Amino acid sequence: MTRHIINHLLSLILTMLGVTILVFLFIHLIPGDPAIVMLGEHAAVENVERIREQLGLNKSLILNLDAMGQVFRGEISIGEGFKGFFDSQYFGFLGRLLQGDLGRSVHEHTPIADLLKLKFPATVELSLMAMVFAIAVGMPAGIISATRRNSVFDNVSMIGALMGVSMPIFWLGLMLIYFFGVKLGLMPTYGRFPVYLSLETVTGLYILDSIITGNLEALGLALKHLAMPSVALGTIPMATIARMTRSSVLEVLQQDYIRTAYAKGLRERVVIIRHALKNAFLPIITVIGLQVGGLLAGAIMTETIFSWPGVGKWVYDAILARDYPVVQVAVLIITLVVAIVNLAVDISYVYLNPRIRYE
Amino acid sequence: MAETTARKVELPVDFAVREHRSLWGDAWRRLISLNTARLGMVIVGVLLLVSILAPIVHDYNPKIDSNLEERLKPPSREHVLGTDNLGRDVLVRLIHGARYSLVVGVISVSIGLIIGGTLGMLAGFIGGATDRIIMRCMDVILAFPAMLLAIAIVAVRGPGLNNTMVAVGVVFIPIFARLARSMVLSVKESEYITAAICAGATGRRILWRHVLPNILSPIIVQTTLGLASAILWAAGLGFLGLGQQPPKPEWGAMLSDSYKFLAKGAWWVIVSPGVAIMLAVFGLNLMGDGLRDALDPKLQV
Repeated sequence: MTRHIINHLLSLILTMLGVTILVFLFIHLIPGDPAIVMLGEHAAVENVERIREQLGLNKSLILNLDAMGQVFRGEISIGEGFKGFFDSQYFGFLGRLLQGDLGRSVHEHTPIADLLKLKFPATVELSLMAMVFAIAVGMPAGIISATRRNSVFDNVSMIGALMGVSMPIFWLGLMLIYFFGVKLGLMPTYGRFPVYLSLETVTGLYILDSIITGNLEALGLALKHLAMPSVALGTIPMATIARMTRSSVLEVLQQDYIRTAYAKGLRERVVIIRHALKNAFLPIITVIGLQVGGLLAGAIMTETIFSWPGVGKWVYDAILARDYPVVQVAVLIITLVVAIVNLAVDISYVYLNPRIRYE
Repeated sequence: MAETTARKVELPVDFAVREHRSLWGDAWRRLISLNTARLGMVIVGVLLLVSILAPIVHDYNPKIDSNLEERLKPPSREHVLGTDNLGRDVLVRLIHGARYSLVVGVISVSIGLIIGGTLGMLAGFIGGATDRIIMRCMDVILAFPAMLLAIAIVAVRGPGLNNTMVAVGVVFIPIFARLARSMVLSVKESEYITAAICAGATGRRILWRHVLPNILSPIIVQTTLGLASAILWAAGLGFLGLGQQPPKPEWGAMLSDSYKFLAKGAWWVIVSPGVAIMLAVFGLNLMGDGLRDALDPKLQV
C-alpha cells in the first residue's frame, strides 16, 4: 500500500519534470530571439537586455557540456565541473521554480506569484461550482436512467447527455448570456462581482468570504455571477458523469447479489442505494477525477466569455500579449493541479475498493 | 404422425441456407440495426456531401462577400438563417464552412493515429526499455489537459488552420499510443502469435498481418470519437482567434466574429454556427458509440 503510493508519487515527479522541460522549451520553440519575441521588434535595447538577463539566455539550453570538457582537460575539479554541468537555462528555471520564484510578468511588471494568488481562487471557485452542478445533476440522472432503462426519461436524458458532450461550451456560454442576460436581463453577464462594489476577502473564494463575514447580500451577488459560468463549464462533465453513472449502475444491477437483495424482499430504494450504488461508485469516481483536466482547460473559454478574472482568462490574455513567462507558469500550475487530482483518484481506489490489492 | 414431427424439427434451423458472414459484415449488420448509429451515419453523410458539393455547386469568395445594406437582418425568406454584421448570408457561410471542420478532423486524427499508433504498437511489441521511454514521453504529453496543450502549441506556432491541425494532432498522439500499446499487449500473448513466431514469421510480418488486424476495432472506434473531439477543439481554437482566420467561414471563427452583436439582439448569427458544430460532433459521437457496440458484442450491456 505505502509502496504503491510511493511508486505513484515517483512517477508523478518524473512526469512533472518532463512537463517542466516542455514548458521551459516552449519559448525557445518560437522562432526568433525569445526576448525580442516577447517585447516586440521595436523594444528598447535595455529592456531586451533585462529580459535576456532574467531568462539567462546566454547560458546553454539544458546541460552545459562545456563544463564536462573542462573537467576532462583538467582545467577545473570534478566538483566544480558537476556544478558547471547544471549551470544552464533549464536548471536555472527549475531552481527558481522550486524556490517559489515564478518570475515576473513582462507586461505588468509584477511578480507572477502575486498575480497567481489573485487569479487562482477565482478559477478554483468556478471549477468547484461547475463540478457541484455536474455531480448534482449528472449522477441522479444517470441513476434514474439506469433503473428505468429504456423509459422515456432514460432516452431523453441520454440523448441530452450526448448532446451535452457534443456542445461547444463557449457556444453554450454565449446562448446563456443572450437568453438570461440580454433577453431576460436576469443575470449579470460578466465578472465575479459588481465592479462598483468591493468585497472583504479572506480566502479569495467569494462565496466562502461572504459567508465568513456574514454578508448575505454579497453571497447572493456572488452566486448570481457564478451561476451561468458554472453551468456552461459544468455541462460537459455533467453529461459525461451521467453517461458513466448509467452504464456503471446498469452493470451492477445485473449482478447476482442484486437479485438476492430483491429476493430478500428489500425495497427498491434500499437495493439501489445500499447495494448497487456502493459498488457502482468506483468508475464514477474515476470519471469525476478525470473531468478536472477538461474543466481547467475549459475554464480558458468560459472565463474568456464571461470575463471571469481567473487563471484561464489570464493565460488567454497572456498568449495574446505574448507574455510568455505568465503562459509558462499558468500552464505549469494547471498541469500540476490536474496531475495531483489524478494521483488522489488513483490512491482513493485502494480505500474505496478493498478488492484491489497492490503487491 | 412421426413424419410430421421430424419435419417440424428440421424446418426452423436450416444450416445449409445460412449465408456466410464475415466479421466485418456481421459488424455492419449490427451497426445499421441500431437507430442511433443510423442517425449518426445520416448526419455524417450529409456533412460529407455538403462539404464536397459546396465548392462545386457554388463558388464562394469570402474576401469579396459583403452587402452592407443587408447588415444583421433576422432570418427571412431571402436569408433563411439571417445575415451577419457584413450582410453575409449565414447559411451560405455555414455550408462553405463545413469543409474546414471535416478537414481539420481528418488530418489531425490522422496525425495522431499514424504517429501515436505506430509508437504504441512498437512500445507494446518490443517492450523493455523502448516501451518505457516511449510511454514515459507519452505520459508527459498526456499530463497536459488536451485543450490547454492545443492552445499552447498554437501559441508557439502562430494562429492558422495548418497549425490548428498540428496542435490537435499532437494532442491525439498519446491517446492513440496508449490504446495501441494496451491492445498489442493483450494480443501478443495469444496462441496465434506464438504459432506465427514458431512458423518463423518476421517481426514486421507478425505486426502487420497478425497483430494489426486484431487491434483494429477499438482503434476504429477511437478514430470516430476522435474526429468528434477534433472538430470541437478546432472550433474552440477558431473561436479564440487562434484557428482559421476570418473572413474564411470556419464555424468557430464565425462565432468569434459575430458574438459581439449578441447585445444588439442578433441571436441568429450565434445560434446556427453553434448548432452546426453540435450536430456534426453529435453525429460522429453517435456513430462512434454505435461502432463500439457493433464491433465488440461482448461489451454490450
